[in-house]
This record gives sequence, C-alpha cells and structure tokens, in this order.
Amino acid sequence: MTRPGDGGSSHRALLYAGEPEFRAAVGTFIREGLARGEQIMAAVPAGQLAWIRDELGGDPPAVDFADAASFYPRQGRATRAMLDWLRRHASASPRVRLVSQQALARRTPAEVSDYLRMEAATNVIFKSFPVSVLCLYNGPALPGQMRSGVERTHPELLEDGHAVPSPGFADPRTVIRGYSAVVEPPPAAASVGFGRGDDLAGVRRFLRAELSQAGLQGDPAQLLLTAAGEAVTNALVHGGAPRRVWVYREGPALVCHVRDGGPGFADPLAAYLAPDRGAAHGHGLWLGRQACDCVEVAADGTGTHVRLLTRLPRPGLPGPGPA
Amino acid sequence: MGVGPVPHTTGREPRPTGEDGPIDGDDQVTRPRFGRPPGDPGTLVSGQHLCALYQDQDERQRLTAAVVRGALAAGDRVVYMAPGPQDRALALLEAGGIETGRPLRGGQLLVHSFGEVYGDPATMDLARLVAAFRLALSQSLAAGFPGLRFTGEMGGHPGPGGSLERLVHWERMMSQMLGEVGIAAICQYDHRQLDEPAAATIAAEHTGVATGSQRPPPLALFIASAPPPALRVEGELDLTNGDALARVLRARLTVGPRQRVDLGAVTFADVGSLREIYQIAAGLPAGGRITLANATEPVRRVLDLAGFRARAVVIES
Repeated sequence: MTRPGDGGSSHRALLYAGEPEFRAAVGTFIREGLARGEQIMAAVPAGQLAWIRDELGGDPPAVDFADAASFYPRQGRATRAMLDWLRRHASASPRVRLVSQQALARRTPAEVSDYLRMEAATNVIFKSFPVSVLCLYNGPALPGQMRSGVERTHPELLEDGHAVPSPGFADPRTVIRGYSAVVEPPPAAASVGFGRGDDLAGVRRFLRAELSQAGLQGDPAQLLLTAAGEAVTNALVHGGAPRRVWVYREGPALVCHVRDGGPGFADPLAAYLAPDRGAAHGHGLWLGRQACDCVEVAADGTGTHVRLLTRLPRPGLPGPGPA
Repeated sequence: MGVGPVPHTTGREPRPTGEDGPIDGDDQVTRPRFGRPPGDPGTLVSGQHLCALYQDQDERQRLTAAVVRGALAAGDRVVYMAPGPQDRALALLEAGGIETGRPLRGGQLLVHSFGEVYGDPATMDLARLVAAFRLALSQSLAAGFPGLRFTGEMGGHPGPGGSLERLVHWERMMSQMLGEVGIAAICQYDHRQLDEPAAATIAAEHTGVATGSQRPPPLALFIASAPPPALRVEGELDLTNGDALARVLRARLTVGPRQRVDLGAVTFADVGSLREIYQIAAGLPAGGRITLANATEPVRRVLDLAGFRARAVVIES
C-alpha cells in the first residue's frame, strides 16, 4: 500500500455523508499537502468547490480549482486534462495531490460503466506519477451498483479519517473486463458493411446521413464522425471479417456501433493509455474517448464491438453532455 | 456500379456471417481488348504504356481528364501532349472537371505539342528518346514531383512517322524507353480513324489497353500550388491515401527542407494520415520545417484530439 509521502501513486475514495464529513476529509488532505509544499488540484462540482474554499478560507496559490462541469465534459477529456496537469507539476513539486468528484446522479447505465472502467484504468494510468488521488462520492445518493464499483476500483477507502484497504479492490484489467459486456445492436438499426479501404468514403457518407437524420449537428456530430471513422479504420486494419457499423439511439444518446469478427484487444487497458507520441497505432480509441461521451469495447464469440455514445441535444436545453 | 458499400435500413436481422462489404462488379470493363491486359487511365504505374482508343469527343475528354486527375491524386507531374493551341487543350480538361489554374502555375500540369516533347519522330532513335525522357524525369523530381506521366493525342492513322510501320516502330521504342526510364504514358488514338487490324497492331505495341475508369473519383488531390509555393491538399484523407500524401510530401522535401502544406480544402482527415505528416517532420534535418496552412476545422479537431506535437511542424492560423 502506498501512502502519501512515499513514491508512486495512491488512489483512495471517500463515500461521504454530508458537508461536514466532506470538509473535514478534504480539508485535512489539502492542508497535509500544503504543509509538504505539494501542488494540488481540486476538480469537483461547483457546490463542493465552495465548500473547499470555505474550509480553506480562500484560494491558496498552490491549489488549482476546477469546476467538474467544465473539467469533465467527457471522460477521456478529463483524463487527458489530468495527465497534462500531472506532467506540468509532477517535475516541479515533490508530490502532487488530486481531489476529484464528478456529478453522477443523472448518468445512464452505459455512462456509469464507462466511468467505473476509467476509475479502474486510473490505477494504471497514474501509476508512474508521484500523485495522491482522493475521489469523493456522495454516499447516501450513490446507487448500489456504484458503491460496489467504487470499492472494486479504489485500493483504499477513507473511513473515519483513516485509509483502510478496500475489501472489494480488484485488478484493473479484471474490473474493466467485468464492466465490458457485449451489447448487440437493435435488429432494426441502420447499418452498412465494409471490407476494404475503398469502402471508407461510403461508410462516412452513411454516418454523416444517419447522424444528421438523428438530429446530431455541429461539433458533437463532427467529433462522433471522426471517432467512428477511427473505429472503422481500426476494424479494417486490425480486425477481421465480417465488419459492419450501425447507428441507433439508446436512451438520450446516439450510438455508432462498429463490429468486426476479430478477437479484439489482448489488453483491455490498451484503449485507456495515452499512445506514445511516435506510436503508429493506438491514437484511434484515445481520440474516441475524448470525442464522445462514452466509449465501450467488448468482445465475445460474435467478434469485437466498439460502441461510441454521444448524447443528443435535448429540446429546449443548450447542448448535450452528461450532467 | 458495385463500388462502395450499400446501406440497408430494413428491419431484417443483420446476417451474422459471410457479409463483408460489397462485391466487385467491374467485370464488364476489365476484359482484355485486342488481347492486351486492361489498364485504368487513372492509376498509371511507372513503366506502364497504355493505348487508349476513343470513339468520340466525350470519351476523349473523359479519358484525358481521368489521366490528369489520376496524376493529381498521386501528386505526380503530368504532361499533356495536345494537338492545336494550349487554350483548347485546357478547355477540354476544364470541361472534364479539372481545375487547371493551380497545377499549371505550380508546374504540375504541362501542356505541349507533340513536336515540343518528342522532336521529329522520323529522326528519333531509342538512345535519344531515353536520354530526353531521363532528363524530363530528373527535372520533374528536382521540381518535387514523385512521378511523371504522359498522355498524348496521337490522332488517327497514319499518326507520327507517316506510316503504320513507322508508328509501330515508334510505339515499340516508347515501350522500351518507358520501361527503362520508369515513367508512365498513355497514348490516345481516334478509333474512328483506324481499321480494326491497325488498331490491333497499335494496341499490341502497348503494355495494355485503357478501359473506361469505373473507379469513383479520387478522394484527394495533391496539387503543386503557387504562389506561395505549397503542396495543396483537396478532399478527404484516410487509410487509402495517407501513403500517397507521404510519398508526395517526401518528394517535395527533397527539393528543400521547408514545405508549406495548404490544408484549406481538406474536408476530412483521419488520425493516420495526419500522423504521416508528423512522422516525416520528425525525420527532417535541423532547420527543416513543415508549415500546415489554412487547416480546416476537421483537421484542427483531429490534431487537437490526437495531441500530435513536433518541433518541425508549424500550424499557421
């Protein structure tokens, strides 16, 4: 078990019940870091930001504050922003600390699974950084699935001010596989098959038409098209026949679903790690995670399925995005 | 057409296996003519010497445009040997959908008369022909073009040389020269002015006979644009033409280590094709630079999401 102050990363969760418990735990965590000269980032919802500022009595220069609503517009974007921040500060500061909370109440089951896969991957992604991560969950409001998910994805839980090993913690790869069940496309969904490079232009025409017909426009549509294009290209280059892409609605989201007949990724973490700058492969899914609200990769006897989900705009409300 | 995927939006259960894209349906245009293998005028390869027999002006226009478009899609230089004044040759290309302005200014499209290119066929021998085309190829490479293609209007019988015998001798020499020098040419004949034995005799001196191009138009064109000197990319970049982009870019960087790439007409780019640019930039000598100009929204989006960074790449806003 890694403790704040040692090398390497630590990743612990607090399921808090109410403002006083939140303030006590986060206040202690941040003050401890400040006393050691560490750089700190707090990316939490606006209400919790106010609690922290109130607790600290202002904005200490060593603490970066970010509103979760804009810091985590998409799961992949958040990871990249975190990594950028870590790379910036980890060399200048002996250790860094992250306080992280996302609003989860209105997420769809697909988005919750996506969130938990990312929490599992975090254990590997942040491993090489001297970072202490404290994740906060509003305990009483947390659905049952989430509570066990938090325990499975965090090596340590904070209980009564003390870090204790999480009884449910499991290997990140196992956890990601556990939250990656194959979802079959609806039988009536529009689809198109593809088998060679010359088909790509036609696939893009199909996707553009379907996205537009579903009411997805502007930037979210372009991002989804780009991400789907990468998934289709991956299926062509690395996957096997038969290959097909579907577009359909699922709850509040539009789904681009790419299936190929191949066995898929040997390492379930592959799609979560940032590719090397010079790497020839691996940019596609990394890009997809930043471009869409949710990315699922799953494989079974029917092949490898990559599902890219983007929320459709709701009538009368500005832009999509998980609340 | 049988080209490109066919969407189905019915309520049928997706067939689980055995369906993997469209089935080729190009059979009727790929049959051999005059016993020679078919060749696509849009995708010439070096050393190829195609014979094209057109039946009317429309076919001639389509054929010539396909050759020039194919060259622009490969970033190659193309020489069009046309009878009559240059403006009539350009009008033919424009009518075939080719925007001739940029490639003309950039030296990618050259329009010459037969005599300007070959001199007098009567006095030409193989050694001089090889020397002349070697020079043309080296000039083309020095100007930053990875390849060189010729298409020529040969007219009807008797054509260059004045007799079928001389013409056969000429075309045989051309085949040898093209193979030796490593460039491609497509000779255009007016089929209406040739009887079948003459057409067959001429076709026999070529590596293949051109078919009507059944392929969809190329996804992207790589144009030598000037001024300012730039490699202008028009269209979509994906798995199918990322290597073409790399080939053109490398050729242009041998001329000078600084290259401007105008992306103002790129409507789609995938990660892989843009990665080619960054990989080439990473291998540039000190002082080398690739400037990405007029990057469109689709390009900026992918660059931003992929997080490519290279000291030798400058993104001009």
